[in-house]
Formats: sequence, structure tokens, C-alpha cells
Amino acid sequence: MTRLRPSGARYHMAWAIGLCCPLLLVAPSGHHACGQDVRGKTSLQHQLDDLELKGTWYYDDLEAARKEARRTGKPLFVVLRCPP
Amino acid sequence: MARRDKLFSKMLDQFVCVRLVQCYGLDRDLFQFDTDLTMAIFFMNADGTVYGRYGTRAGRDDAAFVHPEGLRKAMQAALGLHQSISLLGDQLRRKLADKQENDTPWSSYEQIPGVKRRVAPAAQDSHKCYHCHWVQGSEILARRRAGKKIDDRHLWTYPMLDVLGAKLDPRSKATVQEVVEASPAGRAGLRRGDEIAELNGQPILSIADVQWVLHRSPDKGTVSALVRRADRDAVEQLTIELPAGWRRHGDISWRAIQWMLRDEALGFHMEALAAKQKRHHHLPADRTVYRVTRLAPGWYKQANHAPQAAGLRKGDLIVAVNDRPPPADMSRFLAWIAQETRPGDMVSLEVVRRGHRKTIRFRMQ
Repeated sequence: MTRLRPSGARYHMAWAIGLCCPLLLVAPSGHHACGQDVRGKTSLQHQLDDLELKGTWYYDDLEAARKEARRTGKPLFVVLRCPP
Repeated sequence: MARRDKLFSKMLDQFVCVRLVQCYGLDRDLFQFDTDLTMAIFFMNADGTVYGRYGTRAGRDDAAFVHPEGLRKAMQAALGLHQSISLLGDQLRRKLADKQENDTPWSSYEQIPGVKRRVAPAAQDSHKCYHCHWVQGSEILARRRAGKKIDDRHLWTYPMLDVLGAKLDPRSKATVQEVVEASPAGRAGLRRGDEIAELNGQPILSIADVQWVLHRSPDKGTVSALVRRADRDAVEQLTIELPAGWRRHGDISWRAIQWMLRDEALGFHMEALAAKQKRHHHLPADRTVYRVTRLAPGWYKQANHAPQAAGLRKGDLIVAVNDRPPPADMSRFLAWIAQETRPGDMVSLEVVRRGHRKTIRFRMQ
């Protein structure tokens, strides 16, 4: 798995979309950070066990995303979600 | 699933994608959504203009009203608005202005009285969920403690169009699937197959957008709908009446506010007895009877422990509240707690316990 950079950076991960009921934008990894040897323990994503995202996502950094949206002229797709 | 994955990936490439997993510090002036959702999506311009929302829940099943096809159509429509905004500029921005509320009493969740003591640990320990589903309950309790009126719009939030007599298809943006003729939607002329293009002038991208307009609508009035008819290539303007009490046709018993209202204001949880159970206990069939299922636990410091101290017990059957029949359903019971009682009010419950009647009196909190 790609080592995760600190919150606020762009990074690429695997994203499995569960598009059947229930609709999930994250498929639970089945692993919990507690008690496991997980790299990047201080990373927000590891702590939240929110590890299976595909594509480029701004993680918990709206300002950086807005800056990128202004630069590229793209709209924002903002997902508010508690990982399972 | 792989095919859908590619479809969504292609569409997502046209957006800058952001994932927000904790609401601590979230700007409520920018993000207003149903906090009982497990997922909420905003389509936005970088300047904060909201094109639309996606994500709907109307009961315990948090996936019943979301569908990949509906999401894809909403995304497509959002891209269309984004392209239009550079051409139409101020004209489109005026139509989109009401997609956000400008009079939120608390600009961040931490400002809501009572929220900080529940979620302060999350600020230091980022792997704990913020629990945004506490928000609505915290707001209502804050209003209650400040002596402010709690209206139906504070309780029956983000109503579905169902309460006005029309069901929308989750596979669409906002296409009518069913209409009850003798309902405000039916009387307005809404028909199966109609696509709701605008409500109160706001472009509609999803069921969530419909809910947003209804959430902001008055307790009595009208909503104007621009619909695209299925059988002809035409749009029509309809007016949907909002009769007094229209929100109360919705069910709020599944919402997280039930926990806080029942524990902190009332002091116990209850469930309505089925007809068979009422017969078993020789209780009248035409009156709602509630069984006490749980008393507020001792460790819950903010809870109301007065009912237990007054002698209420798990299993007691409530047959009268303040000498009147209990509220007809759980939504109305929650509304009774929030709207008809104040902290300190004395409440009298008539209960049946092992065939004997008792009166339990305690103060609301």
C-alpha cells in the first residue's frame, strides 16, 4: 500500500465504490488500526481506518481543494462522511 | 461494479474531490445538511456557491433513497451548472443563493451549547468520530434550556416530498414515481413521470435538493415547482400548497434526537404496544399505550433521573400522560417533549404494572 502523506496533501489510493445498497464511497478495509502494525500511524486516514479510496482526494483539507479548483476551473465534489 | 467504478472515476475526474471526515471546525455557513445522514455530498464552486446536494435518508435504512444512477445524474447536472455559471454569472448565482442558509444561529458545531462537552476529546484524538448526529439534538436542547420556542421545522427537518403526497425515484434526479391524488402534490397537478426541474426557483439536482427547499419552507404557505412533463416536451409551473401542520405527516422517530430528548429531557425510552399486546393486558385498542423499555442509566450525568427516582420501572405500561391519552405515535411523543414541556414542568404518568395502576410524578429536565 502506498505510504500515506500527512493530512492536507493529495494522494492516490485504492477506492472501491460499493454502489449497491448500501451506498458506500469507502469499502471497509476489515482491519482496524488498533493493535496492528500500521505504517503512518499518525496519519488521519490510518487512524480512521479509511484506507480504500481510489483516485485523487483532498483529505480533510478544504482550502487546498478550493485552491486547486480555482486553478483548474473545476467544481468541487465534497463528501462529508464518517468512515465505518 | 468494475464498470460502474470506471464510470464514476471518469466523472470524478471532472471535479476536485474532497473528503471531510470530521465536523470539528466545519463551517456551518458553508455546509448545511441533514446531520442524520451517514453520507452527504455537496457540489460546489470554489467560491462556495452550492450547485446542489446529494444524500437522503428518511428512516433507519440509510441507503433506501440513494442510488448510483441518481448520483451520476446529479453529478452531470452539477457539471452543467458549473459550465453555465461562467456564461450566466449573476443571473444563475441569484437562483443558487437560496441553496445556503444565511441565518444559522451557530456558525460551527462547537458553538452549540452542550456539543463541546460531548466532542472535545475528538479534537485531540482525531480517530474518534465527531458524531454530527448529536447536532440536531444539541440544538433542540439548547433552545429548550434557553426557553426558546421549538417549532415543527426544528424537529421535522429535511422533509421528503412524500409528506405532501409524492414519491421520488432515487434513480433519477427528482422524477415523480407515485402521486396520491388527494394530497397537496396531487391537487397541484403533479403526475407520475414528471421531473421537478426547479423548486422555489432553485435548480433541483437530487432528492436532497427537494428536501432542502422543503426544510426551508414555512409551516403554512406554498411551494412553486417547475416540472418537465413526461408525456410532452414542455415545462409547467405548479403551486403545491403547504397546509398547516404539513410536516407532521413525516416520521422523526428514527432520528438521533430521540436519544437526547428521551434521555435528557424525559428520562426514559419507550415503545408503542402492538394491538395483540394491548389485548393481552386488557387495555383499550383505540388508545396508544407505551411500554417503558429503558430508564436513563446512572452513568449518563446529563440525563433526567427523576422518573426512576419517582418509581418508574422498566416494563411499566403508560396509559395516560397528564390525565390525557398518550401521544398517538413516537414522533408526536418526541414533539410533546420538545414543544409542550419545559424544564421543571411536573409530569404525571398513569402506568399499569402487573395489572395494577399507579401514578408516577416527576419533573422534566
